[in-house]
Amino acid sequence: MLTLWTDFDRSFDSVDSMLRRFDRFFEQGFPRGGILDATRDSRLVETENEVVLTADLPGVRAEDVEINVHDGTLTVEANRTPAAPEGYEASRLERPELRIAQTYSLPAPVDPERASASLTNGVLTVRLEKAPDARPRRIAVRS
Amino acid sequence: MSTALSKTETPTAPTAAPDRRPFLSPPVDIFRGENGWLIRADLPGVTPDDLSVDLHENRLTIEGRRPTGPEGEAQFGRPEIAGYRRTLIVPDVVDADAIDASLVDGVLELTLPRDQRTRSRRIAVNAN
Repeated sequence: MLTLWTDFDRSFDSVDSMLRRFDRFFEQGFPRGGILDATRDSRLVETENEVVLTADLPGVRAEDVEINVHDGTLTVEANRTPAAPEGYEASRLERPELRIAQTYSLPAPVDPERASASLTNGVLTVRLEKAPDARPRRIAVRS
Repeated sequence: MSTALSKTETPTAPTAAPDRRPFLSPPVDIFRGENGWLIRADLPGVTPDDLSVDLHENRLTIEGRRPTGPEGEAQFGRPEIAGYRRTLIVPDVVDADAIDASLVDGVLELTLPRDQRTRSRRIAVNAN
């Protein structure tokens, strides 16, 4: 089969990149830069007893992530610098360099001492237990 | 926005409870080497069990599903997505039997060796 062009050709790369940028613009409203696009790549969920953040950090190592809880906010900092493999030259680079410093307002007071974080399959999960005062409490009704 | 999202959804066989979460097109890096190509794709949240890489003729399709996140009231961020899907047209000279795939920290790495039989070689010209 004769193939006039492939996705590996550099010549069509610029056209395709432009089309992808258009697609992203219409999907997300703005192109993705080198920072975490918090509306696209992370999700903050409030459950009964916890506030849970999941953030996509593909290719980021655990030692390159810093998490801080301070004054009703959660801050996530992370880095990745995609390196070209040895012996290869790049013909298309879409994966962004990541330099993330994202702050989230927490929807409820949390206990910073009871927080946990894990990085699995390129997804960061931060679990923050709500402060005892912020949790729903069942009040026994006396008959 | 809904039109743009539905565009990325490829029609699939209807199921009892259709999954309305969209698929996104993952960003890829493509590198060219002497003996072939190397592709990296960001597929955060996808496990090897939920990933398929198929080569049909010269169409390489990457599809990864990701599990749903924690249940609860979403305060912020994107809606849940079903996963990632992307098709790349690869050169005809890729050796389909020798493609290798690995998934580490949410990044898929594929090596596509050039078919040895089609590699360019110098042909000696005999004089007389």
